[in-house]
Amino acid sequence: MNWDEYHEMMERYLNMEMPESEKAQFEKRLQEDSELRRLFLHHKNLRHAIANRHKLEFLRKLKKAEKTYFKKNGLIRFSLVFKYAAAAAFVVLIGLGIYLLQKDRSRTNQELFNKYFSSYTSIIENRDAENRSLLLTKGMTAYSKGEFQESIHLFEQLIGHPAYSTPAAFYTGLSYLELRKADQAVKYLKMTTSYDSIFKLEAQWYLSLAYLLANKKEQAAELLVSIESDPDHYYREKAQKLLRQIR
Amino acid sequence: MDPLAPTDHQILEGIKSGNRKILNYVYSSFFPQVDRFVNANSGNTFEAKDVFQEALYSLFLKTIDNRIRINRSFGAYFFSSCVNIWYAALNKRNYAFEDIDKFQEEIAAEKQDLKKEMNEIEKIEIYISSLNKLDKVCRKIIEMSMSKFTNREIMKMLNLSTEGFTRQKKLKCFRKLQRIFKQEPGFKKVIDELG
Repeated sequence: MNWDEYHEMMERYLNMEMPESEKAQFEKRLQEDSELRRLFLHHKNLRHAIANRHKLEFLRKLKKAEKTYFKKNGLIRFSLVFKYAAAAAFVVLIGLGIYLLQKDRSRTNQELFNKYFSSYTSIIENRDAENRSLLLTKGMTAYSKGEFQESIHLFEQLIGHPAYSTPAAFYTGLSYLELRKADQAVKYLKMTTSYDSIFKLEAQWYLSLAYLLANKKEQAAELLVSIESDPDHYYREKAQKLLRQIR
Repeated sequence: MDPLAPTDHQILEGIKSGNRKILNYVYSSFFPQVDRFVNANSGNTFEAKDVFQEALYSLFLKTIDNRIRINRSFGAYFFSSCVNIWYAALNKRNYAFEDIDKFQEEIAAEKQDLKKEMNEIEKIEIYISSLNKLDKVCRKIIEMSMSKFTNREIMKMLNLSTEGFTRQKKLKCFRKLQRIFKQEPGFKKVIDELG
């Protein structure tokens, strides 16, 4: 049996998709084969890590809150020399900073939106005939072709369906954003961010842009701060840059 | 009382969801008191920081498991958790306290849980760090696959070509993850634990 077959077997076992007879056989094999056992435990650990990563995220946020508190309340004290050096550097940088900031601050929310917004692309275009009949696939096809009104019409029919609600809400929000309908985009992207799903991180970024487009600068900034504070966020760097410009 | 301060319920909900503002609020409202207590009882601010974090993390675990029962104000509850944690730490250093006995069992059990929890977090960190080094598509395929999505569902949601392609791609991603995992600094420790 090769690695791929082992792998699929483990998945079926952990998903409780194995019939009883096959399950007993697999468990027997697990006891006898130490290599398979290691691979299985490794796989189980990974599944556990993914299901529990919110704990890790909480600890990171806790560290961040601690840092914020001590930064404000001054437990970390810098030496006097460092303070003077920092002050001198600050004076030099401030002149340059003011110039650059003035340049960026003169931009409107709409201009910032245009600068940072780029369409979210679905991954692979090739689809088979059977799937073409499905609403989600049809919606994605319309979205990929830039037919956003049509994609909204298709995706909205899937909202409320347990398996498709989140991707449908995400793409509906994106479609509204493409049409520059900020309030509607906010509504659907907010819906996406309120659930733990694979689209959550993307939805947060696009929601911040939707807020910007809706001239809700404070809400955009608040969301960008939370993106910025997540070290694993795909859009962390972009959020940092945009924050500097809207503050 | 500050009318703008969050209610106890909002604080607990905020801790559960890791809300940045609530965590900052908890630090600024309760840390000074805990710090003073630890400093007045043979400790220092660095130890107060550990106690505070441990208490907050324990509270977070209880909120996500819905195990939290508070029959007094959040401040009083949280402060007494910190006191218990600090007493337990002092007890380890052989300090004698008159009222420590009544907390003993409860604290010992919580400490044990927390130690296990920290080991688990270390492991989670290694796995998640490996996962984060994968490209976006692979990461999503693995996350979905681990959340019991079938190949067919993954294919639909990620807009991949066929079920067969999705299956192959998934296996490829898992192999890639395995390779990355082996390069993680904590890899050996995890593997040793697997036996």
